[in-house]
Amino acid sequence: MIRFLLPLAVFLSAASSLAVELAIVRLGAPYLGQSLLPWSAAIVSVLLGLTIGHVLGGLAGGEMATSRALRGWLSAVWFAAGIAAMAMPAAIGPVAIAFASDGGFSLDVVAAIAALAAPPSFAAGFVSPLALRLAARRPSLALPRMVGAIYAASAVGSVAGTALAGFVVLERFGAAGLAYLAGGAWLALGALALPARKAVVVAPVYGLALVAIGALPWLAGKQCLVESRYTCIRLLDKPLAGGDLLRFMILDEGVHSASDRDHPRRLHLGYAALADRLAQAAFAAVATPRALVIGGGGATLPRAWAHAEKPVAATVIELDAEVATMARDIMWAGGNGRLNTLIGDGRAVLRALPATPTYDVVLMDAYRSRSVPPHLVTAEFDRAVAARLTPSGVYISNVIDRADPPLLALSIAATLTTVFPTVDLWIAEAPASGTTNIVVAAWPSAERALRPPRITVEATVMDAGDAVRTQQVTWRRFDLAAARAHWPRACAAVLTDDWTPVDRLLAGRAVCDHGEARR
Amino acid sequence: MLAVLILAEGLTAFCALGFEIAMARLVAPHAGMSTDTWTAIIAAFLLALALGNHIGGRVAAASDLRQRLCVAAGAMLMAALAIAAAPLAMPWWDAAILSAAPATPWRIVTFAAAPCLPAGLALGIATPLLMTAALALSRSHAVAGLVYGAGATGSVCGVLCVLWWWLDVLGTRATLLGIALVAVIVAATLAMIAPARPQAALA
Repeated sequence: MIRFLLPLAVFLSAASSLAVELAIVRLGAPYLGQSLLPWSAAIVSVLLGLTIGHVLGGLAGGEMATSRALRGWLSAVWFAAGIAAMAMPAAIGPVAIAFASDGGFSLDVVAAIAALAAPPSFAAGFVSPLALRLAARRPSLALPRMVGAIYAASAVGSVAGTALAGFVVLERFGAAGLAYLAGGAWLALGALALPARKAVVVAPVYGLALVAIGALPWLAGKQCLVESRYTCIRLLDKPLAGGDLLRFMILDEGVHSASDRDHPRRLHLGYAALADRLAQAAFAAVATPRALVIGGGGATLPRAWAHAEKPVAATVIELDAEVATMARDIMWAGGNGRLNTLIGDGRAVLRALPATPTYDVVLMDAYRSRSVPPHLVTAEFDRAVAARLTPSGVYISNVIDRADPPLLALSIAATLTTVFPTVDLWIAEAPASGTTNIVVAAWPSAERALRPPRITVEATVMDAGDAVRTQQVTWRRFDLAAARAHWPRACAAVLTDDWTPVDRLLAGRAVCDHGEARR
Repeated sequence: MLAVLILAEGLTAFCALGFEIAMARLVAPHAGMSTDTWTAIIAAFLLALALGNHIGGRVAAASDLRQRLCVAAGAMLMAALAIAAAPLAMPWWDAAILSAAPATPWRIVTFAAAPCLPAGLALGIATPLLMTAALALSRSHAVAGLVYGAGATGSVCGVLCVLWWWLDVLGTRATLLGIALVAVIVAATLAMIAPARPQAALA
């Protein structure tokens, strides 16, 4: 019996460990987003916890520990892991606020939130070596085969944890539910492993702990309106003059869209208003304009285009089906037959569209946590876009780059110049210092391009007191030569499918040597 | 020899995690980067790893120390070949599976999963052989914890090294070649430390 029970227990424990890793990233996402840093911190925290747990699991109870003693240890560490995992959702908020500084959520918060995953991982780390030692106490079991079986159970458990979390649990129960499920599995294992004689002594203590844990879900509260398999979706409504309503869609930690309930054509975000001005130049050249938007979010721009005097038939590619549903039902992008949404990755869906000049405007606006997916900014991707763009069209890429110099935006522009003859960067001038977007426009035809030195648009900003007001944002145009003159030491690298150091560029770290080597 | 085995376990885990991360980048230009592709990569790799673990456990049960180390060395060499070959196979695999309908979920999952199977299987065979060899060499079962700990530490190093350094500096293909090189070094080391003559039966 134990031949099957031990691998089964290791399987459940491994699945719970993976669930904790995913849960801590998602629980922290409303504060930190899901960029490379929180993910790396979570992986390090979990694996470090497992490492220490593994080593101590080999020593627990001493060399001569009996089977009963080892079972007692297993029970104790499973209970500890369960309680620690179930405490994570309630602890996230207080920890994030306690470590936040005036500048927002810094490295301290990343480390503190990731550290919450260490205790359950530490306790779970005991499990595999304890299981092996228990197997070694049974002469009837062939140890080498049990070693293989326990390793295999751990690997399959990791698969189960990943798949269940990604496809089922996150969407149905959210990140907090995932943590409770993982914790619950560990608590159940702990109860089952409890040696009968010790149960009388220990059970009341465990019972009290369970009662305390039962109260945690109420303490944790609810952070998201909807949780999808990718993100935490929240909404923020702001009243405008005349009883109008402005709704922000917030994905994880950042505002992705701002839709005006009463005026679909009115664009409140500065980059969206600029992108619209550039797009209108391309739409004006044709009788029945068409647009392709990669990264829908709240679908504010395609909604505006669909409601224009000369309506645009817009196709939106959105990775997250929940976000697309929210855009349609809650951000008022539905109810207009000119908007067609395709669910899937931007690159994969683009490949599936006919490689003929179909779209007058292609807008790349796919982001998560201010980082762009690497495969959507490469020269190969740009060529796929160019094949689907009409000769009088424009490819607009929204780049979120706070660095000075903006190495990612410069590199995206440099990459686009390998495919398009005319490429401009549009950068907001000083008064709109809060703007973190840079808009890169690539035109197949220089003659048809809209290239004034500056464009001024209206944007809505939120003040510290959360009141909204309108301000003028002036965007200044730089071609690549002007940008290079403006930032003479900045390196603009050509990005390829093989080499796309997006996060390094966003952090303002130099890649020039590597970039030059690949030109 | 025990220290070398523990280090080899750590480097095997380094290769495993590094390979998974680099494969996501290799697959993305063809099939995108979504829950489907990530799950396909992780699931295929770990299921192949589990099958390899099972095979490795059975091989260990029927072999002495020398055979365990030689088979582990062979498995690491196979893993190196599979890792190095993955980028070369991509264009052919894309034409065979994906190009007809690139956004079809089952094609995306199949495309992302299959290249991970050979490397996962080979790395999976090696790990229980290393663990059982370490247990056989040590009088203390505490070594089990050390071997597991080395594996988890190697995993951390694999993730950080590939995500924060190799992919940024070397690019995806060269990163995979680097991981394959680590696997070759582990294979060569295991072959070198394997006893020249067959050993008595081991636990």
